[in-house]
Amino acid sequence: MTMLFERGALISLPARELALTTPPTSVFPLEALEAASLSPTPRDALNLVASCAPPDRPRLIVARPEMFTHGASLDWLNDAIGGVLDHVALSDGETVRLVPGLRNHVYFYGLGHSGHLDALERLERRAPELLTQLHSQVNTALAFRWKGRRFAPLTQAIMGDPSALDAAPELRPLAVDRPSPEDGVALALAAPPAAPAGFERLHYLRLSESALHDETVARRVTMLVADALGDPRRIVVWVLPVGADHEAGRVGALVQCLIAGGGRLPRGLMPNVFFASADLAAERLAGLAARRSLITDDLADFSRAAPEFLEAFAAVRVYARPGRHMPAQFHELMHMVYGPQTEIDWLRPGAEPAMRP
Amino acid sequence: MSAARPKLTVDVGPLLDDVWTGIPVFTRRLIRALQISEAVDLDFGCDLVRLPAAAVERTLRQNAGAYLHEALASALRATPERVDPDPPLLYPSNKAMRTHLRREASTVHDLSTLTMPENHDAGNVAAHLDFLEEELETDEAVFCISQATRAALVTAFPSVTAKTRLLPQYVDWPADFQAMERNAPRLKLGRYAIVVGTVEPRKNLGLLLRALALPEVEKSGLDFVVVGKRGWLVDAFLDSLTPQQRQRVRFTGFVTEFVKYRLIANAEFLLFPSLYEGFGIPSLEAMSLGKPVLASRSSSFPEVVGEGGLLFDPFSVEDFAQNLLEIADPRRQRELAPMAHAQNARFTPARMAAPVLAWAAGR
Amino acid sequence: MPRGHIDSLTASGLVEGWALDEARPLAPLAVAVLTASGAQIADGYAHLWREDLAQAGLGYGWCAFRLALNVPAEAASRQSLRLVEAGTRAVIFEGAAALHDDGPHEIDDLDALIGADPTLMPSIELLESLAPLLDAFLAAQGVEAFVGAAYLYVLGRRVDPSGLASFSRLLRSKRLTPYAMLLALAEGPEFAERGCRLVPPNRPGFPFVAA
Repeated sequence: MTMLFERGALISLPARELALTTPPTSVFPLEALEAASLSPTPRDALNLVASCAPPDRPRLIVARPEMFTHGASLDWLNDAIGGVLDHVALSDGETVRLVPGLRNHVYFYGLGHSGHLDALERLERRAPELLTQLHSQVNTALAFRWKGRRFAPLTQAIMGDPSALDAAPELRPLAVDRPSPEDGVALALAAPPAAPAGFERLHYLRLSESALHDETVARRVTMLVADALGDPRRIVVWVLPVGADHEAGRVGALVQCLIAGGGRLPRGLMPNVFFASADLAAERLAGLAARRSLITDDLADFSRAAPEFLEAFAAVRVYARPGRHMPAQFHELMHMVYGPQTEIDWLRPGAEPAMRP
Repeated sequence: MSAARPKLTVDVGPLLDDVWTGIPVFTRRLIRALQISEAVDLDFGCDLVRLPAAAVERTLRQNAGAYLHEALASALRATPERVDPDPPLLYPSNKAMRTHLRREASTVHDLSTLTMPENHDAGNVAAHLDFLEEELETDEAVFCISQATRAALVTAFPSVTAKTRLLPQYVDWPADFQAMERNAPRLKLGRYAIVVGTVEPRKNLGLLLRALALPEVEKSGLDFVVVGKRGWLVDAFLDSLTPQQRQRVRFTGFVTEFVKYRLIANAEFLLFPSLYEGFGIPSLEAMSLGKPVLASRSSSFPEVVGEGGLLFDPFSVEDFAQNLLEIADPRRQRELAPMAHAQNARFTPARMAAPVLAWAAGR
Repeated sequence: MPRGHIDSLTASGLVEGWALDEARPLAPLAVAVLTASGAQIADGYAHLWREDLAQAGLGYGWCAFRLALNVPAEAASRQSLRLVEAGTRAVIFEGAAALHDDGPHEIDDLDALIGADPTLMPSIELLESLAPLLDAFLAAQGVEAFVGAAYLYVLGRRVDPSGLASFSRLLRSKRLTPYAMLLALAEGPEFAERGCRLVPPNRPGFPFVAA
């Protein structure tokens, strides 16, 4: 099987991720970062990208690609990387650093984290031509604009080894308290774990932090929850977003989403709306309900989702920001990842999709 | 009959700074180089308000922006005269405003707000980058202070490539420094290298401090005199050293240009471990006094240092130590000294003026 | 018209004296010291401050020189020496100079180097003899220009509105002289915190000299 980075990969990370590390040299083997304290998301992104280079080819980290502008420094870099042709920039949206002469790819990992998309949009506004030179983008199908034209670097979809799933993440009921959201969060966190089973329909919400802050997503989700609330045939399981450090913050993001969505939800613990700290295993999903639909968004990370997990859903809806992606390319990516049953909801305000029976 | 000299307006906004470092000093050198050439009729303005040449001259002689502020304020209090829209207008830094003159050029010093945003505050990044694309588009020429800056600029904005021109600066020590140094009390600080480094992470002072723990560095017999403020981040590093190691690094705090000149003139070489520089004028300052440079193999260092020093991987303590031992050898210094002088001699007022004169003349 | 004098030679190898062009007392004169046969044995600038010269009204005191000899001081002391203007070689003074002992002309620590910087003034009081110059600046440029320049010079920053208002009022009503205003700024805590970074009046950056 041809690997994506056949001749090896030169990988860069945002400088602040390496701030607590002392690189041994300006270009060094990936293994030197094993003991480094990197945040989990870039660490995961790094491993994902590295897995696309054959193990017998160099997998190198470049601490500061911006050093190698031209001339003697660039010559030295080319000697040091020994035939590697591909540079993968792991980016948090603040910048993208290119290495002249190499094929430059970007992985906007963690785009679903609050602020990352804003940072990328600022970068696009300030230096759009930078993005025109990308050979490919990993796990995104973002469209950019330059001089009135839309363009999208080629999409490379990389699925990694499924993350070691929390064997049995607990399900706790969610609680919304509009006047005091923190009370709702506290109530939810203090509730005993539940063991729901045997429903007819499961709505599985797997949304990024960024999506939770989107007004249109909030309205969609609140409508869904309001509609399902108290219906004994339906269960909503909502996976906490990656992003905030602590669980209360992550639960708070769900609660704020529901408040922003405007739904008049009763106070107190909800009987059939639960949150989980991590994805459930496929078998557990099967035990929850016979028919299962996944609701996710364009920036939610799918790279570590197990095939059997994804296959557990008969219907998939992806909330997508209009204008942010190249439509056909994005469709292809979503269908490739989530399956042919995937439906894209382009989040045009007011165009509320009909709820499936 | 000789042809009329082309006219050129220079925006002197950078000279408004109260304290002149970096860009104001570059602007001073640029204006002086153009004056020395006698090949252009210079006029001055700030944000399209014309300023009298006498006011600019006085400001240049004073080396501080105070007088220019007064001149600008006074021009604005009266009915401000606008700059002549016809001659080309040169900004020695970025254009602070949208202008609509027929021929404009601005100067890019470095792209670190784009490539190293973590080293700048968000306001700074916005101020530099929010209008950069528009600025480049409305420029007829884009001057870059080094090949490295030009390479970084065309990597980010390839469509600008054809407009770019190099604008390298030069060292201009005050004419009396050489005599003052000769007549000053002899400096007996022992063997030392002078170091450019501050608490900013990109200045990479940490590399030197980590290297102090290595036996090779001990063997070099050298002390290190860091020009500039010390700061608490550096204290944290120093705390991790032994007392003997700590004694080998001295921080000058703020020093005048003359004290800096003295320290360079009496040093064995300049150490410049910065991760990234748009130009790195300290390299030329050292080489102008015959001192070789030990610097990072990064960005503008190779083109500025040339054969006048040694380059090392700024992340590798071992590579640094090896090169340090080499340059600490007096025989190697004697070999490098003439090359340092020769390398500095390539950076002259004429070389700085030439690309601007060519552009002003429409070439 | 240049005036000057060779005062002495030192065992550490210096020739000392003073020189100035009275028409431009704050423009340091470039001078050279020659032997009787015309060989140059020292050169440099007469730009250092000496109290006795200030008291004598010579160049406000900023016209002393201490130049390194390129011959042994002993040899120089045995002959008549000529002090000349470096550019024109016009003779300013001719005569012998006595040799006296002094300590080594050396600096062996960083603090001493910074303390001996001739491009900084150690104290604002050295400007006392320049009071007439400061008065002339104020008269020519105006009170507010003087106050602004004083703040930049002493404190390294633009004057704030309240400082401008209060010092302008005091200067206009003559309750404060220009020199006294500089002293007042130099006595404040802001100056103490910043450290003394005063440019001598004969160097670029001194704002009170007419263009």
